[in-house]
Amino acid sequence: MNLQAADFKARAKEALNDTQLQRAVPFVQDRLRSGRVQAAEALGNVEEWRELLSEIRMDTIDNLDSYLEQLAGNVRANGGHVHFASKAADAVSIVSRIAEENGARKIVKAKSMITEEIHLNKHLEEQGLSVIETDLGEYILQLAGEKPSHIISPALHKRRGEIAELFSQAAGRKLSEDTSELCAFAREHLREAFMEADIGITGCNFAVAESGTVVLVSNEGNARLTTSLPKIHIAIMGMERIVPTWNELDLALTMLTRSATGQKISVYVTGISGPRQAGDLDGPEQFHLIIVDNGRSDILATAYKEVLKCIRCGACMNVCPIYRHVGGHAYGSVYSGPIGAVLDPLLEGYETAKELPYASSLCGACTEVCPVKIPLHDLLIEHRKDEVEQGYTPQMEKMSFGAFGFMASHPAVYSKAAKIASAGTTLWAKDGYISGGPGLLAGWTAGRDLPQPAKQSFRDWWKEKGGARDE
Amino acid sequence: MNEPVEQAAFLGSIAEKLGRKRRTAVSPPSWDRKPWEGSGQELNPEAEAGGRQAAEHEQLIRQFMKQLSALNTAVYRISRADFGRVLSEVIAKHGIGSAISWDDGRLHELQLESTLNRNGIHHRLWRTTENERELRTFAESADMGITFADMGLADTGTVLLMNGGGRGRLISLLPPVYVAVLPERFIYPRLSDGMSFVRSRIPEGLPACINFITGPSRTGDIEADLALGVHGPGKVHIILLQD
Amino acid sequence: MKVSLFITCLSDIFFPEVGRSVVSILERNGVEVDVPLTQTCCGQPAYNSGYVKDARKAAKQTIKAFQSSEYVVAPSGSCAAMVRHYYPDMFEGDPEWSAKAAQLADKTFEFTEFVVRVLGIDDVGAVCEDSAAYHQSCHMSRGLGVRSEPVQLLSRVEGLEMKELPYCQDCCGFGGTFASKMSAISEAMVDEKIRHLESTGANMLIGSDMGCLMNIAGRLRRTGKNIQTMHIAEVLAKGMAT
Repeated sequence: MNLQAADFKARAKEALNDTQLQRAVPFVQDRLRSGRVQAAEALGNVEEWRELLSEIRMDTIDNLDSYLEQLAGNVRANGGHVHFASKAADAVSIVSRIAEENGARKIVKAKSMITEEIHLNKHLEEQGLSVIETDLGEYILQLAGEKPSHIISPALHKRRGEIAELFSQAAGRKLSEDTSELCAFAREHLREAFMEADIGITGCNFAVAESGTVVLVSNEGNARLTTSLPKIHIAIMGMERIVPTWNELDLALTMLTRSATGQKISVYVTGISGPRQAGDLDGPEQFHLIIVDNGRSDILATAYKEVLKCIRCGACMNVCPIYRHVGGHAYGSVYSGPIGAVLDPLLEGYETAKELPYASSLCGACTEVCPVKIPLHDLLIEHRKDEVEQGYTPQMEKMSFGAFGFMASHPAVYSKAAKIASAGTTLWAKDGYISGGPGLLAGWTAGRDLPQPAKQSFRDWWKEKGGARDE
Repeated sequence: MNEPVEQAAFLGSIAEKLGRKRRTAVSPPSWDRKPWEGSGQELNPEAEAGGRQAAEHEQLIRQFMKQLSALNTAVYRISRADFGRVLSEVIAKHGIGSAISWDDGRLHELQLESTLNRNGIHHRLWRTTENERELRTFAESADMGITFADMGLADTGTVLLMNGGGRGRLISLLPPVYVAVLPERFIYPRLSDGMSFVRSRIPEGLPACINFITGPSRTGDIEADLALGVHGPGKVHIILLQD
Repeated sequence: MKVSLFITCLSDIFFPEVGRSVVSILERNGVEVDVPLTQTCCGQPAYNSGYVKDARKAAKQTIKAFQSSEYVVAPSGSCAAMVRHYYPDMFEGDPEWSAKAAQLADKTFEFTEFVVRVLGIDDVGAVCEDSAAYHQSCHMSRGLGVRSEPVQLLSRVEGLEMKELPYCQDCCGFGGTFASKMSAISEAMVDEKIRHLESTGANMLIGSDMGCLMNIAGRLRRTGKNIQTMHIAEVLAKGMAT
């Protein structure tokens, strides 16, 4: 399934009419965000944590070449293979090659946004490989033929009834909507997949440069199963998902889980340092780390550099009112919510993602909770500036703001406009309110009344009162 | 060693985009702030095990237990002499018929095997001389997995497992009931202590797999409804050994 | 003490009574108020839409208009936040104007912030027999960090019963041109805000930003709901001995 990033508004409208989604998203969002609030309160000094982690992440980005070199050297010293992929296609073909060289047929995967980003499953399936998503949420989506709608809770838009239906189909028998019955089926089915898989593919929450360790965070333990049972483990990481040492990992982990779900730590934090060692009876025989750029290095030289600090906690989408009402799929891209609205245009270009920077009321809730202090809503304004400069905005709008700029810098004209505003809108007004009109007025009045400008503006009142000066 | 061509190109491009020459062997700044010191919990991660006051350590143990009890995990604080009795209780509680455990001297000292035998448990050790496939199949069907733990973290209720050799990673993962044994003197304040411990092992080489485990395997993917044990163990017991 | 009123375009054109209320409250508390008439708009609509050049024109005009002012007070958290946070950014690399922008930023205050923090007053002697909820607007609470001041002032209004608004930190869906460009989403947001407002049973919604209030009031009116909206200055000016 290849989602088109254009037509955000059309998809948003669809989402607004989807009664399942309208119930599901706010419900889960409320749980996640109240968890974060409680965790922040428990820390007591969350601002200090954010400040420090932000500095740490910035240092990492500024010295990325050095830390990646150290990481690669240590992974090799641990007996692992390191691959560098400049583009999505390179990453995909590296995975294909490993599968082919080892005669692999069955793959299990742990949840990973980077593999979504490079559309890995689609390519591997085209190659004739069986790929099974093992995160429960991802498994639900795979059965439904859908993409994740949230980076932490990928199936949060799904209601129990739909899940029971999907599982019943997969099981070939009628399952009830009871969580424990659904989970029992999933356990049995996924266990089988784990035991039979030739390759396990995971993402990478953080790679620790000083020891060549890939750190995976999960509550379910599916990442552990994926990295313990198959003979080959392939970890794929966005190149910025690195920390210099275990000291920095401490802060990053502390903030990741607290920001994501409010948990102090996830159930499993697993550090994988290469393949199994001499004397080990479990763990993969081969370990591959694929380090992916896919447009990230282009961000380094731009005003958007700070977005690379992101640790993919999802806190921004958990507080975003736009996400709350339209869910993740409306964004039509891999990443949704505020981080998606900033990141997608950078990774995919304005041609397909130009609407996303406008999918925000600039309320700043995202910026307020970001554990690495990415100025998300400011970066959305930055995108809007770039779109204006690069000619992605309508001519009419350009002219309107040109006129605005002229009026705003010519007080006499502005005053006059203020004076005639009331009279000028009588055409659309009734009882002092406007309920239709052209341009931006149309959007506003589609669902809202607008008061007619006052008969006497404040400045005219002030002048009449005799308080004028500066004229 | 010569740098592989793709790596040189990849990292060179990063340096270029950063507008500077390639950097190498950069060390991170030493961050002098430790935000957890100002946090709610009055913990002192700097203190050495030996130097810590008993009262302070008692507080850590309580915090560890409290944290875990909120995470659907049973904690038993017992003397070493009571290990057999308590393990038998766990066995009875879950109707355990088979078990697999680490091949670890620290467990042998507790007479683990004789306890299991006494309870008529079909039992195997993760012995590295055994057949891998067989052991794995046994672990997959076993009712209970038993490991030792290398450290406990009070703030989060976490146990740290350094896997490798006879300390197989599957033991704490495949069976539906998991028991970890931890001497209470190994309990430290918070994640930082776990990180320091791991760092101290880097010179000798880290094991291929390290696990920080905090409670049972859980998911909230069905309408945020908490479900335990979908992938890993749904029941976790921590046996704390008093010194 | 002398204060220049930055009336802001929405209050100037649509809601002049807000400006009149601010003037009367400030004057009653011994402040000399002037209104430089060369002021226009802070430029936020253009800035937030990405039209920085046009926004800069508005900003320069605003800076010039208030150049000689001692304090600048605006009955809008959003416009005050614009001046304080984005003006200095907007002229980065232009030493002359960024210095002027910084100067204006330093002396600009949102109305309630000024009354409580600068004047040191939390009781203006207002009387209002009614029940109300307060809307925390986003730019004011997050951008300026002004949260407690309006609540403090309202708590001292005689006869006014304040109800707690659930989800008070959530955006009402205004967002400037957002309300027009993404009207369907904006409507869903304002509808949720109204549901929360209705759950309080309050007769009135009080806010500090006319943008938000215009949005919420516009939706209330369209959907035939009988809840009043008022700027905080209007409430505080009520019942004051004239």
